[in-house]
Amino acid sequence: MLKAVKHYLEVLRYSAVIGLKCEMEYLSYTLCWLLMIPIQIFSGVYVLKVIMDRIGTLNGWSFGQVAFLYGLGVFSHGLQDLFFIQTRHIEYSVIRGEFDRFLVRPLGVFFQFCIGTVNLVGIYDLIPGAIIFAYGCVQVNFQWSIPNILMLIMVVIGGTLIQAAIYTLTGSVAFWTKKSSVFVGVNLQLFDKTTQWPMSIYPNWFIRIFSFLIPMGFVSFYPACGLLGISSGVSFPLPLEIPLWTPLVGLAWFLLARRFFYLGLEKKYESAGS
Amino acid sequence: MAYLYKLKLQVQVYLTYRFEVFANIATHFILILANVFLWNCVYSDQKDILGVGRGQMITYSVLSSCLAVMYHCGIQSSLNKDVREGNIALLLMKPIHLLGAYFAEDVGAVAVRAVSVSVPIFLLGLLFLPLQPPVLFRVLPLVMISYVFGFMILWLLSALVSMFTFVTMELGNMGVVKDMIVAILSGSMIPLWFFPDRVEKMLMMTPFPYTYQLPLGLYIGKIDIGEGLRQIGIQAFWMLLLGVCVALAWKKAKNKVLIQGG
Repeated sequence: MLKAVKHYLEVLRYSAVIGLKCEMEYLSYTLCWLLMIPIQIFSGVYVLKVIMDRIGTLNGWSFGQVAFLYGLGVFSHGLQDLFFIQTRHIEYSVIRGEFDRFLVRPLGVFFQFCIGTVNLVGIYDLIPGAIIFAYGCVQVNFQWSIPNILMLIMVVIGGTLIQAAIYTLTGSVAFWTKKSSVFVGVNLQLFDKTTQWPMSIYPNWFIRIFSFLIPMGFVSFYPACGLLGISSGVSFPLPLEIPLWTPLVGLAWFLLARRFFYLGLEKKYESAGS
Repeated sequence: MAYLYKLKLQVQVYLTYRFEVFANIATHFILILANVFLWNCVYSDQKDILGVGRGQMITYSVLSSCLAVMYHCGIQSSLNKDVREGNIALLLMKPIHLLGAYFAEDVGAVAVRAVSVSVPIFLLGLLFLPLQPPVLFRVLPLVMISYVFGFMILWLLSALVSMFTFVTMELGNMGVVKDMIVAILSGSMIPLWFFPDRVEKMLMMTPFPYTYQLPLGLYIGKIDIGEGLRQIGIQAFWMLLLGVCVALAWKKAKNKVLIQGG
């Protein structure tokens, strides 16, 4: 078991080095991302700030709290970008028959597929995310105790798994339909609106859809509520604001998504392309 | 005639993917809904902010999404692809003006997107959201003109950015950077009057607010007819300026064509 894990980590390391080299090859490409991502992230939060300057609080959320939530959302987005960017392009690989290559190698197909590109662009997300998160922490006087730090780490990992799971699930539809790229743009925008805006602004039915049907609420909204001591306003027999839900939900959905991916690969994949 | 044919072709391509057409409407509507909820929340305690009421603001936000669909500049990706794959050589030999051909394609795409996405969203909005008709029907022609001019400004900007392809071969995401900047500075996310005065004044000196904020402001009645006419004049100025820049850049770029692939 330990040997297998070590082997997988070794492969991941090589893949990361190759990723770095690819990234450096097109300097203008890198520069564009370096320019764009911080603009996008900072402007997103600036828009909220401009609005909140006019009205004070957003359904009880102060700007510091919103920044905390926003930063948390950007973290898992960035990590998803870093390690699971491939899950957004399943359609492409299905059409080009790219899984053929993975199928003949002695490693799990899903693992190979995920690490196929370690996408360094994700790091550019993490930096502005960290700045906004730090600002939020200062504003809300966040206590950096050991349990809080551990919970934050679990939440970020869980959030990343949730995001990867949703991209994998929607992307794997391509095994059946050959087309699933429509979902990518929608997912991106929906994640922005559910992980970076406090979901309290939405009506209850809307929050429920994006918590229980599609678990986006667990990426940052519920854990932020829990860590900051704000009520989510959603009535449910169990307290949803416990941050530990995020890693649990994340793991469950990730395994489900992996299962769905294999279902498509084994039942429907037909090595299209050449 | 050749351009008209290009335009028609683009319409047919789009309609081939019917699943995408419906998926597009549904997904746009969900995203618009999220925006509407945000504005509802913002207006929960206030009746009006800076002279704009809740209904007006929601109308602004929904129409902004409709506009975004119709501001489609495909030249960014087509030109980049044609240069990278080397098709540009053959395209330049054809007896049409290449920029004109790209333009025709984009107009086709815009027409089809307007009918297949913007209009359905608008109708859904009228049915289910507090979308308002324009304050004065007299402004509608002005809204239309400012939309067309706004499209020209954005298209020329895209064309200009695309020309970088000739120099760098790989455009990277210059186009996306441009889109991002437009999204923020044009008032498409939130109207610029929300910004601090100084920032707003500065932004009014760029071409961006004249793409989204002008037609939308006219529609909801935030910009009156006199002011609207003045701003349409500014639009015309930007169009001319960008047009000249594009023409010059195109002339230069054509000499830099490097053929790769074959």
